[in-house]
Amino acid sequence: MENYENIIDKIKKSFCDLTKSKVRDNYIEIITSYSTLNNKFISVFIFKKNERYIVTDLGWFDQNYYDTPYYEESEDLIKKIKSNYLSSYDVKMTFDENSNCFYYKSTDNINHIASLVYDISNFLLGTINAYCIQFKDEKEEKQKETFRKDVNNYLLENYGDLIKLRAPLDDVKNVKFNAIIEKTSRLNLVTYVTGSSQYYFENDLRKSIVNFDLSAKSKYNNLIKNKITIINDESNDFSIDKSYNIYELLLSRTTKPPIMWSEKEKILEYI
Amino acid sequence: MNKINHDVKNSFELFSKLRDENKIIISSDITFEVKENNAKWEKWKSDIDHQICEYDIEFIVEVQKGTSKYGVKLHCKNFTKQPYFRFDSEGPSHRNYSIEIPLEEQSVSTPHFNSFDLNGYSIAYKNDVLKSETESKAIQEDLNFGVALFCDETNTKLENKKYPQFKRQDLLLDLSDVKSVPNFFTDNITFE
Repeated sequence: MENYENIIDKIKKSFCDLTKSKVRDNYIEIITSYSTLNNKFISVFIFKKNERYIVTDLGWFDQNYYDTPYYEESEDLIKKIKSNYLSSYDVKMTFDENSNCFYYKSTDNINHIASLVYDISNFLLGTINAYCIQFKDEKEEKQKETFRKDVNNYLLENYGDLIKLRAPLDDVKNVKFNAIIEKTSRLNLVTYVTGSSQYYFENDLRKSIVNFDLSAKSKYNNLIKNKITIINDESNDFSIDKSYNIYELLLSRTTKPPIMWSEKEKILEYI
Repeated sequence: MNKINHDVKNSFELFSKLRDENKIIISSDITFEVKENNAKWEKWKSDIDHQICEYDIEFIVEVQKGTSKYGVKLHCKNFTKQPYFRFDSEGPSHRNYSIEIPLEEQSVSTPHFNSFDLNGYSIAYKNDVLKSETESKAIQEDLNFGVALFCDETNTKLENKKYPQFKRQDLLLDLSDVKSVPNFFTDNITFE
């Protein structure tokens, strides 16, 4: 038991000593014991203005003093995380004359300050960490990109100028096909299906089905000769059998059975 | 989480040379320009003359407008993507993430140098000058003092063996504001 007490004391002392402070001209910086995923300790500042104690990040987060990376594709997700933290900890925002945002909480009771420091620190920690995480699935992105390039190159070699990559039908702009090949004034719509997991594979299958369905609403529908899907059968990350019901649905939407990448010559027979 | 810089880890000897061996700042035209993509910062940079390797090295000084925050960096793009040695005058404390360091000592406050250890992990440290609180405060408030300290730490000088001197009137920014009352005490910002 004596030993346990010793351990507890050591931990308490270390945690306590990790919290540091700097007294500045007319305010205090608390260097908290919270550190971010990119190894920065959260600092929180306290000063008195108009008889209230203000606990704030002093604009450090907005001015990127924490040096967080920015992954544009995660913007929506980060916004949600941030607004959740803002409301959970009831953090307020204000702006200085240079439009720098200050996050803060305030009180007129000196006994509340510690609790406000805790709230602001937690808000900053959660939000900054959200910025540090790369939410996109790198393995998936890489596999999709590699397969897309391989197929694009093969089609370009064989169809050259006849092909448009990542293109929509002119009147359905929000539905893009991996390739549209225009041969003898007839259109051949091509989608690619791959995935670094069963989940992503199924997503690609569904996307192909929906895109082919929507193409039927285009005024160019009668010019469409083929609707073809190319499947990456060289990946072991998914199995068609496991998603057979969706695959079967795709079969009902294509004009030819999906082409396996290992038998890519079939494309030349169909188009 | 602690990311490894593999360029540093794989060529630690080169990294040490880039940091420690004699380097000469070529430009003596000490005027600042606004940092690209970020109008709140102003930036000055110069190429470095050196015999370490065939790669180009840049010496960079950045100052944040209206504050005393500044940074000094050495960057060698062919060696590694990010600047390989930095000085931060202000900003968050860095965590030196290692089980060998007692928890309470893992926090290194600013001003501090940012470097890498043998394994390519980012580490912050204070040299003897920065360990002194009085000197540390003076460095935070005086860009030229910080630049000189950085030059000593990295063996970097102008050709005439002197340190680059940034004159306030040469700066586009108005450093005279810095020591006045911080803007959050003024009426230009409202707290409820």
